[in-house]
Amino acid sequence: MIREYIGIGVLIALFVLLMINVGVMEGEAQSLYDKIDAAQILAAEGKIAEAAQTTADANQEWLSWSAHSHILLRHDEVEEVTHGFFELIKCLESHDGATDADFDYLRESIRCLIESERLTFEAVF
Amino acid sequence: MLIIFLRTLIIFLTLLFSMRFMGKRQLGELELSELVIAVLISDIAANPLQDIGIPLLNGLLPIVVLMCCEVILAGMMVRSNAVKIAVCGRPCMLIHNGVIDQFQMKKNRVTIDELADELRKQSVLDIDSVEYGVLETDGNVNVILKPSHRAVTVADMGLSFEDEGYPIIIINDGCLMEKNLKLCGRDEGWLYKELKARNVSRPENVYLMSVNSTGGIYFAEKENRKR
Repeated sequence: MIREYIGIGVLIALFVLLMINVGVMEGEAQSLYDKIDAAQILAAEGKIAEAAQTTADANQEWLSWSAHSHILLRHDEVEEVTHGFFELIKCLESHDGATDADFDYLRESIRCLIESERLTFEAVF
Repeated sequence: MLIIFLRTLIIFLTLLFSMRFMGKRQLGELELSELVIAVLISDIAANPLQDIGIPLLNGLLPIVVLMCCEVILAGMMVRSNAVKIAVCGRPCMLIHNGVIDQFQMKKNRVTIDELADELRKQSVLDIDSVEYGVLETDGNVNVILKPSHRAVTVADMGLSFEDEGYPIIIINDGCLMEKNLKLCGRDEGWLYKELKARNVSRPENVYLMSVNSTGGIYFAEKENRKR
């Protein structure tokens, strides 16, 4: 009987912790989206240095979070986002500048990452 | 490589704990739900070991979840016969009074060859000698022979015999089992006396020594030869 209660308790605890984790990841993703959006607006206004700085800040935030994401998410998907950040910074710091597609690529990488954890029908099946 | 080494250790310990937690029944004949879990666990555990790009938690989490599911399901099956039947099914009679139930054979997808194989495993060659042949929920066929074909027992012969009792091991491969010695009401003085009577000086030189409740002793000295 005790084993069954432990089993039920562990399942409930895991479910709650995983739901909390999804919430934390959603919040972190939204924070990154906001910074990327801001960088894109700055880049569109021609403020490339500020855009690069904003992207670098977002990248720092992502890197500080990547230990957490490495434990929970597939490593290649995490690296994809890291790669996307460095590519975007490289584009912004080069003379060519970044296109909307570069920003979209980074946003999509983050979205794919979060989508795999989000409790949706598509994700489950 | 160090990561794989550590992961293997962690997965191994987790599986060991899971199996221990699920109980001994997991190690014997597998019921359907247990078989599913055993197959799943073995497959899931292998993934993070083979692919370093998969987080270890991807392997550990399903194992813990499966472990909890099995414990809860086993508890429900103990309490509710309906749950037990829903998960494991019911035993069914394949042979009754020497006659094969062909409907049940088809329903359970058991072929004549498989049935004959199961009967042979139990040293039964003639189906006519079987009173009941039951297909159990774990897939085994249990056979009960007609009274005229059953082996003669002591009770059938009208004889009486003294129960020899359960033999308790006192020395196991040179190791003295003090707890067992006390359990059979003996002490070390008695033990050394018995050893001396068999020209053995120390328990370390004994391979196996057991005593049953009538005082009967089984003794095997340790061999010195090396192969």
